[in-house]
Amino acid sequence: MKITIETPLPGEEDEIIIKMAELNDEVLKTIRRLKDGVSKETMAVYADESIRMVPTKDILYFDATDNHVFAYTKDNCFDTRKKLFEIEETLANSAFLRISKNAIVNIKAIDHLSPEFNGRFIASLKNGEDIIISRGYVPELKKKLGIGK
Amino acid sequence: MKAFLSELFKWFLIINTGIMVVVWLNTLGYEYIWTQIIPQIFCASFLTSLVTTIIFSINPRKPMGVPLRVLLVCVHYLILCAIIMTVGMLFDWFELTVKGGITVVLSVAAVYFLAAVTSYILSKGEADEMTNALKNYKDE
Repeated sequence: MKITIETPLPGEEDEIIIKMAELNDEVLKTIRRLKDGVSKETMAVYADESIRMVPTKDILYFDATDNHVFAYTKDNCFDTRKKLFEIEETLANSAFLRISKNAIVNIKAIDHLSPEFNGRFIASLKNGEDIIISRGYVPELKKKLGIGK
Repeated sequence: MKAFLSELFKWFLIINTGIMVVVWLNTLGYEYIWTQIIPQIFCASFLTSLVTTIIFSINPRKPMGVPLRVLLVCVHYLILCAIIMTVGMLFDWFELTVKGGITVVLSVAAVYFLAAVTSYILSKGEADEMTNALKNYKDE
């Protein structure tokens, strides 16, 4: 496949043109990644008005609050400007898993789990934060950990 | 809905066992007990399990602090006392006297304690199993 990179003229907008007889899955994924700024490896996030690419392995969890989904890393919190279900779809089959209506956690960031007296579980993260795992999402977590039915 | 029904069933089994134990202790001095008490216990167990499942279905965004947790337990306990008091009067389990009231309050406290300890032990085992699996997952 031939790849051509041209520098746009001054004042001209950056543009990516794909010339293919047939779009395959890999190219479609790449297009989506470019459009969404999210992949299994990195994610475009917003801090104030600047955009940063954050490795997804550094994200501890995503939390939806007031129509915004925030990505929490060890030291920072970023607005993702995406819907929780979009992130869930993109990060499917990775270490990320939905654990409640408003949160997705990086399983590798969990230090340990402990029970709440009411049947829910608390996931204690490596940064010392605690987040709730709703009872309804426990079977999926068990499945992911290889202990589910 | 499936998760709710599964939780309801779990609480029904735990609470029903607790009520059975308390009823057995309360009827130790009796020479015989009336057969209708069995469906009556099922009815009381179902109502209290339903309320318990509904209350525990409320999902807070963040783990609750101790004061809020204590408040929730108190409210839950008072609701259960009110249910058992109503059901008990309907089924003639006791009379509306101070002694009858104290019996209900203590009986509900005993069942609450048994149910809480049982649930915690079950969940603790589950949590430990998941924590161990988590270590293996990280190693992969």
